[in-house]
Amino acid sequence: MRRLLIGLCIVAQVLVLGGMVFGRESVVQNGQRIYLRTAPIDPRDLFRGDYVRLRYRMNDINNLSVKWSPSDFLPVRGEKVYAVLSSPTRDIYDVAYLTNKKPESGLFIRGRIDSRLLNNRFSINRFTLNSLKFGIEQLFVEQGAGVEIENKQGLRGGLQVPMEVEVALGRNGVAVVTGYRWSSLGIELSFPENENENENENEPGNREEQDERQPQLEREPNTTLTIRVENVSDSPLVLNNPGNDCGFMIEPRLIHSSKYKQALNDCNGQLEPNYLSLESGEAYSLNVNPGDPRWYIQNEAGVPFDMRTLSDSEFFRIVYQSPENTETLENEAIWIGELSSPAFNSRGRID
Amino acid sequence: MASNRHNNWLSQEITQWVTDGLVSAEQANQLKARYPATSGMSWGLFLLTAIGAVIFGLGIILFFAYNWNELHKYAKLALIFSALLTSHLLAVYFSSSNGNNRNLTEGFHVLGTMMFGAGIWLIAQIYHVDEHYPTAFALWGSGALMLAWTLPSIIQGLIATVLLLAWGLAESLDFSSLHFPSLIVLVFGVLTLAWVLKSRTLLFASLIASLVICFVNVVQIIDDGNVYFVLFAVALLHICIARLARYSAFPGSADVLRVIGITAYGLLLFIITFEFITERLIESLPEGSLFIISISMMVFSLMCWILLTFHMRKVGIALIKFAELILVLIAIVLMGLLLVGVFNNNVSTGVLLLNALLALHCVLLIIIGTEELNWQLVAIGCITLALLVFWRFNDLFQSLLMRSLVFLVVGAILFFVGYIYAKQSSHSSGHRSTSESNLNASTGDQSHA
Repeated sequence: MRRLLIGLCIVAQVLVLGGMVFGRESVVQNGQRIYLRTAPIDPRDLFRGDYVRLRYRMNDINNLSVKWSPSDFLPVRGEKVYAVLSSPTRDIYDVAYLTNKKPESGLFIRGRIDSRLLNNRFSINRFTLNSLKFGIEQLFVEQGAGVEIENKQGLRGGLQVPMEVEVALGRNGVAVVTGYRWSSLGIELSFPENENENENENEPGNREEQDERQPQLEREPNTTLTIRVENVSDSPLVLNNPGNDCGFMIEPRLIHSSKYKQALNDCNGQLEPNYLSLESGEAYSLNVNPGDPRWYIQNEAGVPFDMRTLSDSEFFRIVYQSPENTETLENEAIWIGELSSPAFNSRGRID
Repeated sequence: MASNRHNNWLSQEITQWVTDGLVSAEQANQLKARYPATSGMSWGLFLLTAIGAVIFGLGIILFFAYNWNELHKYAKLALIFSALLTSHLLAVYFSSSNGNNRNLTEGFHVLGTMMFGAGIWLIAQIYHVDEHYPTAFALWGSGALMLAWTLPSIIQGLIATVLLLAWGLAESLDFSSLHFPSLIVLVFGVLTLAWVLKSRTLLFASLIASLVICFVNVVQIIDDGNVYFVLFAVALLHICIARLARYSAFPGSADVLRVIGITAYGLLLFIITFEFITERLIESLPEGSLFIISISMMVFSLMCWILLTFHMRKVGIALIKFAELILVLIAIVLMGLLLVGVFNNNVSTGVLLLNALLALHCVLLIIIGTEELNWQLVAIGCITLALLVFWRFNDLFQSLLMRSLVFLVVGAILFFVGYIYAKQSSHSSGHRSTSESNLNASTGDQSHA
């Protein structure tokens, strides 16, 4: 009898491991393959040991539209959530919205609320519960290979190339990383040297007299930052950049929780496509002067202003987004999608 | 439970007692049944087997962790499953073959459990899984626990204890949530097994693990002050339960419970002799329902301690030991007064009383240790007293004159203790040698006769 029980214990251990393998392998074999683009690298996402930590735009709840049911639903850490995927741009998917109810149809990824409650263990608010995990945030590689990937991904202040992670998606939302490829377009953000020394905290002296809705400038008005996008693929690539660099826009790091957004400017409305051809290794640069109304942001009252007037806790990104009227099917060389720079603040600190 | 060495000695002694007519055969059987021989391994073999299996298992885990690209996913999986099955099947083989292969059986099963855990993490690696990681500890610990019951095995039980503790701590600390499943599995799975196997080691480990998880969970729901009082009451209850455990089917458990209870009591009492800690406790005094929890626990522990004191008096103990029980009773009352806020306006008085109480405890320990020639008790008493004086030098006595006086008194006490202990020791050895020579003389007489 005891021997039978021991046998059952051993079988149970094998079954547990077998169940893990079967659960993932069935998704790998039968699940739909999609690609998800990784977000810009933040310092906390560096390669550790023999795996690369991946971060997606959907890992931050502040980047997503949320549909809670009921609407006053308060998520807690470990709570299951579902990222419902939008129609793909070519084969790359993005998240349409986040919900706590399992969708009955369509493609979705199951995840969990992950943030630690730092401020008060009993209070749950938007700022403490901001991080989401979908089980696809780690890419294990052979020891040593991670450095190569890290170098290609790029570091703060350098050229960053996003990964396009191949994911097999099961019916119940279980996602399994099955591979990756590199985006053909990389992005680099830089401030001129000694930029931080340009801070002039004493100007202007008559702040109190000015409109309260217009925060005061803390940097020199002629301060600019440079955005450079480079074709890192082996073949030519085409970007649609209409108007006054209207393919590029400024957006807050925390899109859905920020009080700010890009102010209305001459880029609004349907613009004629302007295709820009980049040979392999060729780059396109543009200077962004936040003092130029083209790059103004606006607050909730709709008042446009220079982002440098904000405190250094507010971070923004420059994003290249292929306009909606970009031809997609006719020309495979046209780069479609969204590419974000690392986040930066008014003082020129890159996150 | 006594060790095999002690059991063997006791068994031989009991046989001799029967021969000498000191006890009847029936009484001898009852005594032998009360201290059964353990079928477990010795500590040396235990360590060798467990450490060997764990290190070997870690070697295999590290080999997989290198994540060799050339090795196909299915080859890795095949290696994981074959390593798991081979370890367990070898254990089964050695358990069924003739001869004493208990160590090998145990060792291979431990290796199998290590392979099971390695499998969980490595499959996660193969499929790039990044999910709720405490679940991996839960699965691994459950696998070890099942084997601990079926084999049965103390080593597997200890592995399960460590893993279930890791599960509970990860859930509570890393996910800031109350977590009782780990506690339930520990109590009903491991503590019960320790009782069934009458293993003091496993009982000690699982009890400590359960208390740590309890503590972490308690911290999640109640304030600092409450945690202190609840823990104080729990420590005392351990000592009371230890007394009951002596009459249970596992009398050896009494020592474990007593050691844990007394250690916790001593530490908590020492902590509260610091004025700044007491002040903080008073500042965070409980309110509402949380206050009821603390006060109920304190009242309950007080009642249990009164019962214990009466019981011990009835049983008949030395006056000095009875005084120790009374000191604990005073400590409970002092804690209760602290809890209800009697010392709110005069913390220093409360702290002074608690310091005096701890110092008295130390003195009693030294006296008991000296009388019983128990050097451990003497050492604990002396070290605690010295520590107490050392710390009070910094924060309680401001006057140099007072400091000097206290140091002189304590130094003199320690010198005196050393003298008395040495005297007792030489007196005892002299008495023993006299008895032995008398015994030898009578044996010689008998042999002559």
